[in-house]
Amino acid sequence: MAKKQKRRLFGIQGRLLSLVFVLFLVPWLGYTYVNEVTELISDTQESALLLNAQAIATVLHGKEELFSEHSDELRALKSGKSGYTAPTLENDITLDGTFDDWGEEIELSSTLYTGITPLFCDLKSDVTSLYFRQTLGIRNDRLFVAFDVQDDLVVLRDMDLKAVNNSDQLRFTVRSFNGDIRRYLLVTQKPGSMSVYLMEEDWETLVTGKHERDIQAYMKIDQGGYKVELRAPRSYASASSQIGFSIVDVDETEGREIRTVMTTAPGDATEQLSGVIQKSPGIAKILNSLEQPWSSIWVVDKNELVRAHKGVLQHSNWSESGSDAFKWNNLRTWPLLSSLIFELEELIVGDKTGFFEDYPQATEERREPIIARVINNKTPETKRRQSVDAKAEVVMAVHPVWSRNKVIGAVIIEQSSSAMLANIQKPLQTTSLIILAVILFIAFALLIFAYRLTMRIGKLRDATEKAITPEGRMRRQKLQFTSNANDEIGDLTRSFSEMLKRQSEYTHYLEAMPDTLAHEIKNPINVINSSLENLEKEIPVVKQSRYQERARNGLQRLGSIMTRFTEAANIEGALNDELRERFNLTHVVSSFADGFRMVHADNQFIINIPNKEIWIDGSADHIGQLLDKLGDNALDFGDPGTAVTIQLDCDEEDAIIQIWNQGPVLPIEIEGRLFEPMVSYRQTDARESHLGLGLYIVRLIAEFHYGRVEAVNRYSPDGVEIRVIIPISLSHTITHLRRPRLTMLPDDDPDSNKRQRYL
Amino acid sequence: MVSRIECGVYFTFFNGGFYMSRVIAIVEDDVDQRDNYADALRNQGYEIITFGSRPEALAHFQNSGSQLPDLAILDIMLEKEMDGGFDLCRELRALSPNLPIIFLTARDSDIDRVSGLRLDAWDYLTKPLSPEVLGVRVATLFRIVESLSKGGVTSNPSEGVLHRGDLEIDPNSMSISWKGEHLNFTLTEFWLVEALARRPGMVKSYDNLMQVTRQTYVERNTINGYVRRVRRKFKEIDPSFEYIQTVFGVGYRWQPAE
Repeated sequence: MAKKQKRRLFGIQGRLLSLVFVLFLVPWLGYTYVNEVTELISDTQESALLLNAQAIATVLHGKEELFSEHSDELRALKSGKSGYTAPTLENDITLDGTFDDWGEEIELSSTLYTGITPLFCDLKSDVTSLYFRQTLGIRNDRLFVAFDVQDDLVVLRDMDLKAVNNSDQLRFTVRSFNGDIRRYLLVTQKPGSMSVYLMEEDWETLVTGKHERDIQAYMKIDQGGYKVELRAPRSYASASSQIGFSIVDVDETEGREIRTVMTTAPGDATEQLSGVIQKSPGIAKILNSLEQPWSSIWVVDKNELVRAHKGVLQHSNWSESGSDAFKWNNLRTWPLLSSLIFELEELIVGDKTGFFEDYPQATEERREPIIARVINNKTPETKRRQSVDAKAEVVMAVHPVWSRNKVIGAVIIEQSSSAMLANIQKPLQTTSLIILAVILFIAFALLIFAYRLTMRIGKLRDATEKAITPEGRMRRQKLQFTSNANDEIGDLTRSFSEMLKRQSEYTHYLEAMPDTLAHEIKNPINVINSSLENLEKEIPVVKQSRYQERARNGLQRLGSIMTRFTEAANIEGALNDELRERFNLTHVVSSFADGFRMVHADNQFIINIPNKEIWIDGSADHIGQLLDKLGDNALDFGDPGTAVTIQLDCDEEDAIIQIWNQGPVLPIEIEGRLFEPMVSYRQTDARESHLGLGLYIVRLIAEFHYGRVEAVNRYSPDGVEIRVIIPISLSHTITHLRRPRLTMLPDDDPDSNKRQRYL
Repeated sequence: MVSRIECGVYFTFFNGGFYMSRVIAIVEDDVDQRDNYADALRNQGYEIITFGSRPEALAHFQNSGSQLPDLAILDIMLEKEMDGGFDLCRELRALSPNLPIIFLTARDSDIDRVSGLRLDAWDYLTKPLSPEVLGVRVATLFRIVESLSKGGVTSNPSEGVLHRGDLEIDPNSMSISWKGEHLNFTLTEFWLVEALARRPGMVKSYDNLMQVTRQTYVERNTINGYVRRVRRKFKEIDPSFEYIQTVFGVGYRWQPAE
């Protein structure tokens, strides 16, 4: 029989699981696919943007007048490209220090000055403590300027002091078309309308000392600094004039020394004054009619100066609205899983849908070379760039605007790919989740399948092992269970069951064979026997014939073979039918020893039986039969003249019967097989038949008593000991034995005082 | 033994005073065995009628013209009928409740033995069985029949009667009584009790007891079965009966008087 297999490391379950890992290629394929799709989307977006740019360019085609609005101002810009740009404001501006009425221009057209290039800087001053944002706008022939100044300490004018320039101040310089320069100083002693003085070149000496009325300004102090709104006549920002602003910072109320003077000239810092270009209202009107979400559209003239602008790449509340795209409602019930998937996805694909930082400046300040290229090469171009923080990809399409075979400007559309990606994010997530769920389901199903398979195979193995004893005898006629499964294992189970059934039928046939054989032989034996007898009667002289005697001997041998056969064959059945009784083994062994000694009076016996009761469960008659077989065996193999020892002993768990004789030891080749049927090691008279069934019967009886039997060679003197070990009955009691009174020959060996004598 | 056979009844008084030879029916499908036994018994002076199958035998006995035999010896397996002998026994019992019947068969399982005896068979013998031994049994049986027909009075009442305490064995009528009560034993059981009781205290080994049963091959378990049935019959009369002692593995003995 196969030994019980150890649990394998790489059994069916393991193999199927490793197969499951192959499934994880699917998400990888998905990832590759998504990347391709993303790429495709970006390409499509590029083309779409370019088409959009082309559409706008077509609208602007030939409309040179839109680009020549305020062209006199432009022409006056000597530096060509440098100058303030001022959008046309949509609302009236109230001078109150708040920028709500500026609209989106306060974001789009503002310029940040961070104090990197101050005009004047005290050594002690920390220029980084001052920075500000300036926005220009034109409305109804008035120039508006907004300043948002970050200053850690706002120092206002002290009216007790005569000098006007010893506080935080705003300087406004205007150079008129004839070269006259007017310098306005704006200060205030408290938040509100500011005082405006005309100053000499040194910014210390007052020219008139009067408040100038053509310029109005309002200051409002807020957290971290102050805000100023300024209104001046539009003529100050005409093509023929130039302007310049400076923010002057005073950081101590005692010495009131000027720490920093920061000028606001666009472009080169050394150029203090600059012209103002009003963005084209005509173009702006055209752009306003376009709906292009999440994109920024610029129209520049051939000098790359922005003539109109619309839209932003993202709103400031982008992260919230954007995140809605990947909040998957279905997953609200599974927050852990959805967040896990989101994390996983971010890890693999990266988050390209969230809020990102990009240039605050207008395109002309970024000096994108692509614009110059398009204007010079006269061909449209697209470009992809990372946002400043590299969190998003921005697609840029530039298309030239034509007029009479000349390029008069360009349309620039910028759009981040976030919106598009956000759109595919949801299907991507859905797909990932479905794939993951499918993989998990398949893995789980495979695991269950493998488990079930292993269980079924294991069950089949166990049932098969249980059907046959370790000695190869059939225990069952079929498997413990039946299988109706319509698969290979079901087939295997049924075949095993059928095989067992056939095998057990065959075994049954073999087992019944001795009985049948004996039965069948008895009739011819009876014929021979009765015929011989009748022959003797008919011809009396036959009785003296030696042949008649031999014939009878032969018959006798045949009969004894038959008897032994049937005895061995019947013993198992007899044991199965036998009721177990609790009996005193000491009594049985001593009864046997006395009787045996009496019957074999010519032989010597040494008998050691303890004077205590040993109770076991089983059949006393069969133990008697076992003892008789062992006794006969010992007598047969004992050297003539030597004693056979019959000994009984017990420990806490087992009773041990030992019967041993002096004589030849067991040959090695028969060791371990001695108690199997038809194994004999006798080498005696050929006229006696030995089937090797005696010790087999001993084993069957010992096993019936839950015991075992073993044969041990003994040396000096040589001999063989057969030992039967039988567990003691659990409820055994040890009391003194009332000896049975038997008539027998007294033992005359004076040496053995252990020997039991029965009288 | 031989003397008993020789004094076997050739002609005796039976059935209301007619002198005639006793008729023995042998039902056995094996013609060789049947004829061997028939020859042996004929030599002893019996009239033998033989049948090879149950229907054949039954047809003969049910024939109103024919008389029932004095003894029927039945094999159990008859041709294709596994239990043909048992069935025939039942049918013969229906015809005559007192007809002595002996089973002579190769089947020697305890179950068969018990089944046979339950059908009120007088004995259950297993093959191979010597014709001589069969003759002895038949003679003994007829003696018992004769004794019973005379109201249990033997010709020589006191001769050979064995007394062992409460046990009384009359070898002439083959009867045993315990504490004055008659016990109903088969022949084999009678011989076993007689052999044990004849020498109280001496162990009768299985080999001895096999010879006592006067059958050729008897298994140890068969002897044990006989002894069990004998004990049971004693205990039905006397629950405290423990005179037959087992000498485990060796045989049995009759407990000597205290």
